[in-house]
Amino acid sequence: MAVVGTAPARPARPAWQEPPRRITSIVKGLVIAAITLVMLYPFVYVIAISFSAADAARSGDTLLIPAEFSLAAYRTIFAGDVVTRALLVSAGVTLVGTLLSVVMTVTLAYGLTRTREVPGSKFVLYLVLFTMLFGAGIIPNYLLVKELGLLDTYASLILPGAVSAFNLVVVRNFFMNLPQELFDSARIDGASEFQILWRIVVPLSKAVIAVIALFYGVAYWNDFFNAMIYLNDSEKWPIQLVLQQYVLQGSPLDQMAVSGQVEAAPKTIQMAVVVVATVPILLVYPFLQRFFTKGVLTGAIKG
Amino acid sequence: MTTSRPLPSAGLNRRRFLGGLAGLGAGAYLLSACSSGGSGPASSTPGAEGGLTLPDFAPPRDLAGATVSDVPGVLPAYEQFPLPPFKSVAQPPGRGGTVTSLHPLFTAPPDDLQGSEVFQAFQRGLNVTLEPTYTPIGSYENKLATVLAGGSIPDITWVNTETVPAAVSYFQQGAFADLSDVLGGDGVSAYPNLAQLPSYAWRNCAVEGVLYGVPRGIPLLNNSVALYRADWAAALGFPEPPADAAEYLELMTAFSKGSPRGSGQSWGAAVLDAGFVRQMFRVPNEWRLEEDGTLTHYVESDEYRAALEFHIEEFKAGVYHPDATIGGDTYTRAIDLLQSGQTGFYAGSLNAQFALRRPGTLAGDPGSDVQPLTPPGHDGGDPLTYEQRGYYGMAAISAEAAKDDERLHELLGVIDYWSAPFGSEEYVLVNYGLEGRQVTFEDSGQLVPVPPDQAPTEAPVPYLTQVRETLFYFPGAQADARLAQGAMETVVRSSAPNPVTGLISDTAIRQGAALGQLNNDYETGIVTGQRSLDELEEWRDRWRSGGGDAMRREFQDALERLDS
Repeated sequence: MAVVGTAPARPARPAWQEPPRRITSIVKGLVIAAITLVMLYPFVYVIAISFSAADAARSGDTLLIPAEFSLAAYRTIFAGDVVTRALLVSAGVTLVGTLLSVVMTVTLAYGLTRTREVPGSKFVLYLVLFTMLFGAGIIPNYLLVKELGLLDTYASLILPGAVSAFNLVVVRNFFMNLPQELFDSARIDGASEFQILWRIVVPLSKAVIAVIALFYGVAYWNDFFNAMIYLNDSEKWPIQLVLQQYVLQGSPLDQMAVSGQVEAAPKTIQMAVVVVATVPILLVYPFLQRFFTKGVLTGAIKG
Repeated sequence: MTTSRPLPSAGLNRRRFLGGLAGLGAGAYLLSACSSGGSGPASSTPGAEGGLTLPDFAPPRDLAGATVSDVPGVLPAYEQFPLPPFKSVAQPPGRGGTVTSLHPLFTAPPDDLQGSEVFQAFQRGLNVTLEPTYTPIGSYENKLATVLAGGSIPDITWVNTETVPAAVSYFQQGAFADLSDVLGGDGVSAYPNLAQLPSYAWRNCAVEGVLYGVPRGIPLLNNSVALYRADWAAALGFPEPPADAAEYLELMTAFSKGSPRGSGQSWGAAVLDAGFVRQMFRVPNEWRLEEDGTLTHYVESDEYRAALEFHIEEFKAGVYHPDATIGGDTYTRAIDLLQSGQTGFYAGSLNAQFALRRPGTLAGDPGSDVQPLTPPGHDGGDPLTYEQRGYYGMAAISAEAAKDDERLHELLGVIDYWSAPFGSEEYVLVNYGLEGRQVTFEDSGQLVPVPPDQAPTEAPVPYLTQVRETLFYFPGAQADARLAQGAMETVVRSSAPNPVTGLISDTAIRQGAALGQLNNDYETGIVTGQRSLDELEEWRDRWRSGGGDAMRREFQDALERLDS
């Protein structure tokens, strides 16, 4: 029997599954390019000003590339030891602090996943979470650091913020979503909790650990407030405190400001310090980029 | 430039403060000081009636090249440096021990303090081991609060009730020594350099009749003289400075629209500076004491409304640079724009701004002629210029250290060294550095700072009570000293104090910053057209209910207390 009628039409694809039209692609590309330029321009401008001669920067001629190229600003800021020493301090605090924070966060988070086995772990968890809601305030923190004998030490830049409750929650959530069977079989094989953590949990959690390491690293690098409060010796200042002086206060390098002399730092020097303070931490991002999305999403969304 | 406000918010940049807070005037009981000369001898004042006896004033040495104005309140001008410098401190004040201190930092942190020859020379001069702690001025309030809470108060602390409004509470709670008896009257004669500090600074730094520190003096009228491009003005057909508001507006509009640069856009001013305009319109200096004893805040005055209308007109005429309403480091931006020849008017702090007149300061414009400009009365009459506090912070001594009389004497001696007068060896050291390293002297009697790129970069003497802002002396531009003095003479003649300086209002301490922000927001909004002038009444109501009326009551009570 002959079949009467036509073959059924293929169901129409939704609009978003259609191949984009050329004009749409061009418009999208232009919009993305515009957004990218808007985001990048401040960085380019800062870099361009930092490499400009002072007069060229002041006249407003430098927009994207230095109107008159000069390394004078960098020569100036590296002439003394202030910026170099501050960079070293920041690098040291960031490295040691990040390492310590990651170790403390990972071990604490792992312990807090074993709420049944570890007595009081829920109480500890609530204690940590409490700090997300209520801060002690500047003066109580200062008194604590003072009583611990940490004033004017680099430890005062690390220990008060060694464990971030937010990072702890992210890591604990990640750990809790690892397959429990792995832990059970490891225990049957006689592994200790430390071995489980080191040989199973950590290798499976590289993404989230990389992310919190980045969070901690950026936080330590950017922090200036603890240094301002806890350090009396300005030779221990990290780069961000120096940066604050240059940019927010418009301070000059030359401290021998003569009576009546204009004291403003040239914009070129301010921008050079911004570049010096920003570039080191920016360099870390590409190495952690591949972990970043996966780590944050996994830790934060699964619950 | 910031605009006036009842009490400045914490964390202000020093220059921004010095350059902008035209509304923070001197105390009511300052009038008598001015009548005897701003740097002249002290006399009985309402403050004294409240129990304060001011330190007796000792006139400075009669130096060659000095011009002492006969107009009360005007700073002395020096056109040469006395050679050789004299000694102002006969014996090192210290006993060989340690002195701890807390200082604001307006610059980059010092590089290798102990390796600094300047710092070492200073320590030798004092005969103490100095252990200074530096704190960025923007964070000074937090640092001071924590240091005091920790109970480890340094021997000497720079305290400024403007930067740290809560400092008034610290004084009242006894953290710092009451120096009224030690320094009052002829007590100060034991510290000859302190005796030369301007009387107005002593008077105004007293907190309700009590001296808690040694003031760092600055000009009593620090924000009444501006600078303008006289060469542009002459080329645009304004050979004389403006005589009233209409001429001022014409001049500023011409700077914006008249192409004084030949090519390239220019503007009148870089930032919305209300202070200059307010003085033209005789707006009260923050508060006005009425005949019936009540206080009127400037926002409530008719004069302020008139000034606001003029300011709106200026803005509409395109006087201001497009970035004029943007915050951030307006001080640096304003200087940059003047120096790059984009603006023709600049209002900063009296002493520092004269550096902008130096030849070659304006990039690529060697023929520029920058002249001082004083505010004309809006109607061609006199303006009302603002006497301010005349000091920027003070050196306070911890109450603990002051329990021992010998220690107190030693610490006051240290501060005395810090306050060395113009022309002395110690003045050179604490303000410039060492001869041969940071400065040289010419046989003609001039001090010549070594250019920064040739001088060794080393830590200077920390900021405390140096007196360099209580006189006019400009190395390399000696004639400017008289020019600045002349401008100051002009503005002092029409000046008035803020009647509440030195008085305590708890509301001002708590709410001053918030109310200042409210005023700033409304003013900027109205001037730029984002708000209507009709909102002025709503603004006044919000200011009154937000703490303004409470401040008024508290200040009036304080005035009554002093009167009684």
